[in-house]
Amino acid sequence: MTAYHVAQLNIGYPRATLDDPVMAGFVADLARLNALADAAPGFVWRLQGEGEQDATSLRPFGPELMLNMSVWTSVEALRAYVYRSAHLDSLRRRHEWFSHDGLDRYLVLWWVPAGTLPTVDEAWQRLELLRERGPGPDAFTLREPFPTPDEYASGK
Amino acid sequence: VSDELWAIARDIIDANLYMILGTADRDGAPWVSPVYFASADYTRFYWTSTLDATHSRNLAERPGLSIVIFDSQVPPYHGRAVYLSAIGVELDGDELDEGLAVYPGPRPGATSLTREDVTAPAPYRLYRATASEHSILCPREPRQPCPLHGIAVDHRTPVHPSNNDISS
Repeated sequence: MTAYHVAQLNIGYPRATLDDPVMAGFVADLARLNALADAAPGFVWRLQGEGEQDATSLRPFGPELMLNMSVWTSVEALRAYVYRSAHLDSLRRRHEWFSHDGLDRYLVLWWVPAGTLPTVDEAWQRLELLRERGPGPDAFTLREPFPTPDEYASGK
Repeated sequence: VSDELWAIARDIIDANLYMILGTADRDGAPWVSPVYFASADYTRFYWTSTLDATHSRNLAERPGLSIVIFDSQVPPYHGRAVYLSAIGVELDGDELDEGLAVYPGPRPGATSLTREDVTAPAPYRLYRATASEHSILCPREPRQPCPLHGIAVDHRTPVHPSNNDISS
């Protein structure tokens, strides 16, 4: 078992309210995609509103900005879910439902000690770090991942 | 001004479905090919081709690419174009995953691909051009100098993607 898990934050502006027909495809598929994530190899945790099945009601970063946040055992596990599962179809359609105008960066990954869960405040700080410095050991992306702190310190 | 110029480039890329790839073979013999493309962020451009297409064989020899994207239906003297210098690669592994999430994009008639569609033994592959330089025809009215440089003949001007268009 590795000493670290990878956390991810993904943000975006919905193009309409969730009850608008524009968002119908996203809303209709949400429960299935969350169930897919929950059962995916390497899944650890995802952010959910209190008493809710997902994070769609949460707006910690402003009234217009939605988020999802999750923890996985490895970057490979997260990649497999994102790119090699039925989630891919939703990923392909994301621009129909979400805008990232003005966000600069909207997806960030970082390592957390296994057994701990990230807070939304920490997640925002990691995103800011990515915006300021680009991908690095403390805040990175799927396209430019970094090794765990242990591996990084040992030069792997 | 740089934002306005970049917006012109972005509009041309968004409005057109095909780009012209300029490749060269081992001996430097040029070849141009139109390909349907999808762009992730105006810097990475994806297309599919067969392995034995002339431009695919050329890319295997020389990864350097020149690309132009333009609307061939505009009246004379109203041409607009985006020019790119890029490096082209055939995708596999993680990069192929990322490409399949982008290509062919949300366009009418476009059908999503699977890994099997673009890996052996299939004849097609997914390719990506990563642009290192963008330029556009400097905008000006016919027979008038461009407001930016005061130049009254066709010329290119470099443009730079905004940070907001290059993201995660």
